[in-house]
Amino acid sequence: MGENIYKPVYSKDTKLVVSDLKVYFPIRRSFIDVLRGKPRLYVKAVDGVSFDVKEGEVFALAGESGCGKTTTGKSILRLNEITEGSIGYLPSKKIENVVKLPMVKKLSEHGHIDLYSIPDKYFKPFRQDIQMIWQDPFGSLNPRRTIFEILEEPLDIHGISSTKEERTEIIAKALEEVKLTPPEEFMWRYPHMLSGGQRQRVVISRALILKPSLVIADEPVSMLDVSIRAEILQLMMDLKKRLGLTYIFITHDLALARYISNRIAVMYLGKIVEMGDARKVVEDPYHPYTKALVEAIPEPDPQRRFIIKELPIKGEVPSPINVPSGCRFHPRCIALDKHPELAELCKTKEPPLIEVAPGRYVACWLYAKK
Amino acid sequence: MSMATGKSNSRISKIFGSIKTAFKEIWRQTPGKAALILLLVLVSMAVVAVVTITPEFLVKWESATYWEDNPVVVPPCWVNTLGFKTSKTTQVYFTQPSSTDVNGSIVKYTYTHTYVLDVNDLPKDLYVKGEMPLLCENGGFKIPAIMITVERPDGIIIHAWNVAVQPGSQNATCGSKLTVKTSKETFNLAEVINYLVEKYNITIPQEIVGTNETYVQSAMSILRTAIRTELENKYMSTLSLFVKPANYRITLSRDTKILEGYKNQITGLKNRIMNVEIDNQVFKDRIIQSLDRALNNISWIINNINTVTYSDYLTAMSYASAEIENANKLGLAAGLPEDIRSELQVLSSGIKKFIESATSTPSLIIPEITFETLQGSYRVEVAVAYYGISNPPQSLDANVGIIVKGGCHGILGTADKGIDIATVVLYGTPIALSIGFVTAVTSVFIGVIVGIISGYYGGLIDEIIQRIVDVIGNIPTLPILIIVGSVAQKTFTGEAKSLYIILTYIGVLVIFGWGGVSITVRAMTLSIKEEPYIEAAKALGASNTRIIFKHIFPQVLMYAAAVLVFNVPGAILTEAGLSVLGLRHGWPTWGSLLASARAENRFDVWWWILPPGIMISLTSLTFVLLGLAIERIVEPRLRTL
Ligand SMILES: Nc1ncnc2c1ncn2[C@@H]1O[C@H](COP(=O)(O)OP(=O)(O)O)[C@@H](O)[C@H]1O
Ligand code: SF4
Ligand SMILES: [Mg+2]
Repeated sequence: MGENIYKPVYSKDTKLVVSDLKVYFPIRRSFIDVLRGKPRLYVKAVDGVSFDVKEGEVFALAGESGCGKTTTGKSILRLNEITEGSIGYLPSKKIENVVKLPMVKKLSEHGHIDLYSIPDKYFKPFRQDIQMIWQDPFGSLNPRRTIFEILEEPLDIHGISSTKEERTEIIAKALEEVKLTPPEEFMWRYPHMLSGGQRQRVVISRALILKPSLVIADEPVSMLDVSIRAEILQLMMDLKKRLGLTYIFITHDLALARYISNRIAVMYLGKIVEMGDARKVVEDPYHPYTKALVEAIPEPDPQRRFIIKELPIKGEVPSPINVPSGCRFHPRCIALDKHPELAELCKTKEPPLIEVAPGRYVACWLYAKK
Repeated sequence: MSMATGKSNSRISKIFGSIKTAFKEIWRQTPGKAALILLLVLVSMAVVAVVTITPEFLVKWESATYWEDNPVVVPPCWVNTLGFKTSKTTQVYFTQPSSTDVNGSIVKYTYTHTYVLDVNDLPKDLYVKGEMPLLCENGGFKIPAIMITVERPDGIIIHAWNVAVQPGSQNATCGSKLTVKTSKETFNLAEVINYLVEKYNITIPQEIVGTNETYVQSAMSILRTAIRTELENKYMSTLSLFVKPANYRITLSRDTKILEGYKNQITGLKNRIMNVEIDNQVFKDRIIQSLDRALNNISWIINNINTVTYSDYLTAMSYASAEIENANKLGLAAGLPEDIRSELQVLSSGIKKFIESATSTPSLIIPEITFETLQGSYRVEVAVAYYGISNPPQSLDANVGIIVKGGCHGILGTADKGIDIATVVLYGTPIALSIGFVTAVTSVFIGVIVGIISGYYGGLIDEIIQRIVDVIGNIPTLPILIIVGSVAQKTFTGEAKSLYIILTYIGVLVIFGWGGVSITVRAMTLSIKEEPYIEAAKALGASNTRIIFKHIFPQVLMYAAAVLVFNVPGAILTEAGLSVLGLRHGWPTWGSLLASARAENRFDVWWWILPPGIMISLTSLTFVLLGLAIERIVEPRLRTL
């Protein structure tokens, strides 16, 4: 039986390819520790993640808090140093000149380039093309700036239009697009004068004002009131359709991921443990961790919501500084209770991400060839 | 081009807008309102000072000649409204004569001023000074004769000074000017004494002085001498212009001790002579008779000591002296022993000396006289006359000053050397504000820049900066200031010395002042840096410069403004402190006034120490209040407190 280990493919409709991405954050040692020669420790926030995102797709990165979703997203935006790996990106037409620079590394014949091969000073145009919708609508808007100033900043940075009139027009349109109407009423307000939902609309508007093609949305509704989450999601989906965007949708909520995305990658402690069609992953999870996450989804039926369920998981998430050996999920895995024969293997050898069904990948020794 | 200007215009209008809002915010608060009003007062004072100050003042403000027309250490004149009684100070300077009087070839220019003395407080000085031209005549020049008369409220007109100007060593040519200043040495005190004696009828009663014309004259002369001594010593001669006799008393010494002494001596000699063998009995008898007559005269005085007049006393004494001398002469002829004769000689000349002293010094007759201030209007007239002028000019190109130093002066009184405190307080304002602002602005500026760099870039730069801050933060500033201050005082010379010394103080304060600011700014930067909106800006492509200037700096700015404002008084207080400690720089600052009060040991003079003290406190208060108001804007949580 020919076992298929996941390898991202560069096809002409692949917008983004993350390949074996590792992001280790060094931990500051005290001066004494440096003198004692203690080795430097690392937070292995992302520890070998690979996936590919199709053009026009909504790709969900799911997993518990702290598993490295945000770090993965930020790495795509080059907001932190990466330790290993490459980010292949298919640039849109407007940044073609940059792509032609000699030092830019080509990753495929379709025009994918390695984002990390671009020198800092040439990276600016990519910031128009890849944008982020932030999780925290309170913190990600400078409280001392008016909405106008906040939306003007990207235009200013990228030198888009120069006259106040033109900018006012662009900003008004951007506000209308996120349904903050009439725009004149919102432009001159400060963030604290807006509700959470309105602020998140501003965050979305700021991300879209530069007309990006790839948008990374980092838990865009997790900090909003439940009552307004749906309308924000609806807005994001409308905009995606209208502007032809590609989304990487980061969430810890599998139910939401299924509802909104085409495909899901489930992460655990810096690694992808399961990846595949959104519906299938949530409705029929393979990996013991995914199963636990699915079990944890609150019942939509209010009558049953308060029944305490026994979750198929043990213990707490370990620290990303000391990642468990072998399968990093093994200290918490209840599948091992049924399959004690796997225990040794799971503790010592890391399971590869293998294809178990077409387009369905799982990293677990239950499914892999030993 | 147009784009750039459009952009900068909007930026400027935005900055102005935010300054305006900041002002409004400050004005809304009570401490802020008080601070702004005080600040307006201080700034207005500083502006007035800067507009009117002269470079000369900066150099000469501590020299006595600069203030020579001011009374020394007198209170401000408004103390009179509080019930104090102080005489006014008048300083009138003429460039035009009050009147011109031509009489043939004699021309007289007069300058008059009336000084009103309406309280019982003797002025401290009166003098006239001026620059008088030598008028041209036939290729040569004419020297002016200057006469200064004072008409007193009691009608006495005193020719106080007659100044015969001597061109002397002053480079005299036709048209050049001679400098003239009256002094107590040239004051015509004799005339004052004469007039006072005459006008106030100062005489010695006959029952004391008797009738002997010679002795009456002597007594009068003793009295005049006593008046002169009193006026010279207590009234600096000149101030006798402002007095009249209050009380006088002339007493005759009723002490008989000396007389008894003479009597015993004579009796002793007489007894010795009677026991001496002398061939010629007639001579011996006459000697004894003479001595008896002398004894009689002295006994008479002793017996009538309570009623005897000065004349009779001295007449009797001179008789006694004459009799003893006579006895001595007879003794020579009679062959009286040498030792007795020489004793007779000594005795007679002793009595003669007694008489001499009693007629020339206040020993037998003792005058006591006191004076009091004469209130009323004094008309001072300065007449400048030229003789032999064929074509006298209507106006004289002279400067004439009539100065009466009173017991009060100006708005805030004077310090030593006549320094006008109000002037120094006014001119001290821009200096104090500059010292405060330059120090605060520089140290806060450095602190903000360093703090932002340290916090934003971190790493090795941060480490180095933090260690430097630790070091300078642990060095006490005051000893360093004192050491550096003394070195600066010795090192700098020349005209800009004061400026350099002050700049040195500022430099030291800045070196030790930016650390604190940088620590706070670094902490602020560290926390702002972690704000999600900074990351959002980076994701939008913002450069480090942009993040620093557009996101971090504006937030640090208000804090910096508050710290800046809080830091202003520190430098002013330090300057004052150093001055008082004796580290003077030479500029007219509030600290300098306090320093001179200390140097003169006159901390008791309230008008000397209170104005600079109050100005320092008020300035500190202004900036502390302003700082509090700004802090409330920076830290809105405080608003509810
Ligand atoms: N700049 C950083 N320095 C050190 N550790 C970090 C940094 N950013 C994230 N981490 C750590 O990396 C891990 C993954 O974080 P993150 O990517 O934010 O997870 P998620 O978004 O899935 O909640 C966490 O343990 C977090 O503490
Ligand atoms: S590899 Fe082993 S430990 Fe890991 S999830 Fe599968 S069964 Fe559990
Ligand atoms: Mg996250």
